Amino acid sequence: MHLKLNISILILSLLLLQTGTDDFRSRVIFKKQKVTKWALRSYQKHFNGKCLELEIKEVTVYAFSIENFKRSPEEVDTLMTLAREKFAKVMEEKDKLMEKGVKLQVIGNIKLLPEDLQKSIADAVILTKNNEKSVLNVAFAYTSRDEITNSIKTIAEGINEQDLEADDLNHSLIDQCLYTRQCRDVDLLVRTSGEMRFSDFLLWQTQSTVFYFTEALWPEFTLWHLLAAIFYYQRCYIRTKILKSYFQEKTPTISDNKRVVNFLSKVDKQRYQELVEIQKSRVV
Amino acid sequence: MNFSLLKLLWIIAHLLADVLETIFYFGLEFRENFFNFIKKYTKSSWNHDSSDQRHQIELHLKNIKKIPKHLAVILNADSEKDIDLMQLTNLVDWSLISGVNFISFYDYKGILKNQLASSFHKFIQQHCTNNTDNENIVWGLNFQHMTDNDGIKFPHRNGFKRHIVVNIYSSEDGHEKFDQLLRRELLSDKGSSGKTVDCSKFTIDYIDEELSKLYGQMSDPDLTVYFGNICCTMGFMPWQIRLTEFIQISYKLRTLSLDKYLKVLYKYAKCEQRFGK
Repeated sequence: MHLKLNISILILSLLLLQTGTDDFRSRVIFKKQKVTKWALRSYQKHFNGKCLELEIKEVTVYAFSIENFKRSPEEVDTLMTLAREKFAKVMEEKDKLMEKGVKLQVIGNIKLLPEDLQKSIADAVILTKNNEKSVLNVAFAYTSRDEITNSIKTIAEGINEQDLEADDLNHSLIDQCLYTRQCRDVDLLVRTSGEMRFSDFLLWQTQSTVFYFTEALWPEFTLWHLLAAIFYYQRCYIRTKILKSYFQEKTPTISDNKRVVNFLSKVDKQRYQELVEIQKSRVV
Repeated sequence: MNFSLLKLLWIIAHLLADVLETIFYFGLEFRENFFNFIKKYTKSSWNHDSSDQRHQIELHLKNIKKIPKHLAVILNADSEKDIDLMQLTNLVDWSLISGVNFISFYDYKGILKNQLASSFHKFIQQHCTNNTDNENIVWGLNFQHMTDNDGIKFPHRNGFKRHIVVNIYSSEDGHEKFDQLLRRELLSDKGSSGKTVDCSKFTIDYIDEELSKLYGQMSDPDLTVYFGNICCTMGFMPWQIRLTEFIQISYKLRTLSLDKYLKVLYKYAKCEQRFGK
């Protein structure tokens, strides 16, 4: 029972699901841009630092789904401009970021984004890649189905280049080729605004994740809501531990297969190389 | 405030929650035993009257605007005794009347699929024939070894008869299904057409199609109901649940009732999907 009370052991990675900014529109009518800014500010106000204090090592936010490209062009433009500003600010405050040891990762199909945004993402990711204290994953141009498809494609390339053989194919290889390959397991998923679905977010990674719903809209979400979510997670802790160990037994281990390990490190290198190329393309 | 003081408060909150939870459990047990006790002595009046239930559901259906096409049930079960086949049969029965086309039962350990499948099959056949036409129940792929059919056999569309496809799943049908997909896609191709696999063919639609071949004819679950206080997919169909609504139906399988089922349908009907817009 005492384990249940120790916050620092339990929360390794916490995941927040943001429905987007239009949750707020339904209740209060504001200018769209204003709302988005508000949402970002609320993130800064309540999360930067707080999660570290609570010893939450990893936070993932769903910022922009591939499906969101379906919104009106002006709205997409506004969101992109905001993202640009945000990443530019990250670079401005890079000393602070490095001092805090925050590792920033962007998960998603960033090739779908405007080129200049890709560059600023690459800049920020490469800059912080060696930080270890805490991790902030931003899901940008992300859907889980796209991620799984991409993972299968990566494996297919591995087969074509004869890095992999028939015996190596299993679902834990898919797991290892996802965008979240470097992330910890997700323990808690928070969904705001009273919705009760995943909306194509981390479907593959959440088999033993506790799903927490809250009626609060994202801009209203405060530290108290976060604490309530953590409390709920701790109440469910024993159950999730059973699930986790069950699934772990079922997952084939690939760490002792040398061929697969080599293949994965090659994938890592390739992905890093792609980022470097995006970063360099600015000079041209 | 001092940090250790906060920690102490946190611990006290947990203890309080423990106490409340225990009281709640006792209350639940007590209520159940109490009703069972009454049921025993007044057997005739407490028996499930199926035509009455049908009537009740039909009355409510007039107010419910949206019915899930595919209902999935995640069972929070660790052993056989956690699964009450009678309640599951009730769920099939109610869903059939409400117009649900697919119902899937999932427990991560595969107790239902591996140990109870044949008794579940018999159970449904026995109980549902009383109320509804047996022809209306179509057995899903995981029942095939019992019904000796190849593929899902849909009834002929004579008249306006409804049907429901009943299926059972375990964690083998979740992530592990992708093992099959990988082998099929990457190895069979290689053998037939020479050396390389065409990587560009892997699009979301393509994988969706290939997976649906493995799962048999099925639409993505629209609504998933779960038991207990923990909402977790437990590895249920990672590809298909992207737009599925998760709603708690009851605390325990044993305490499930028609009222609770209808409440979930009402709640589902209120959900609005925006598809990214």
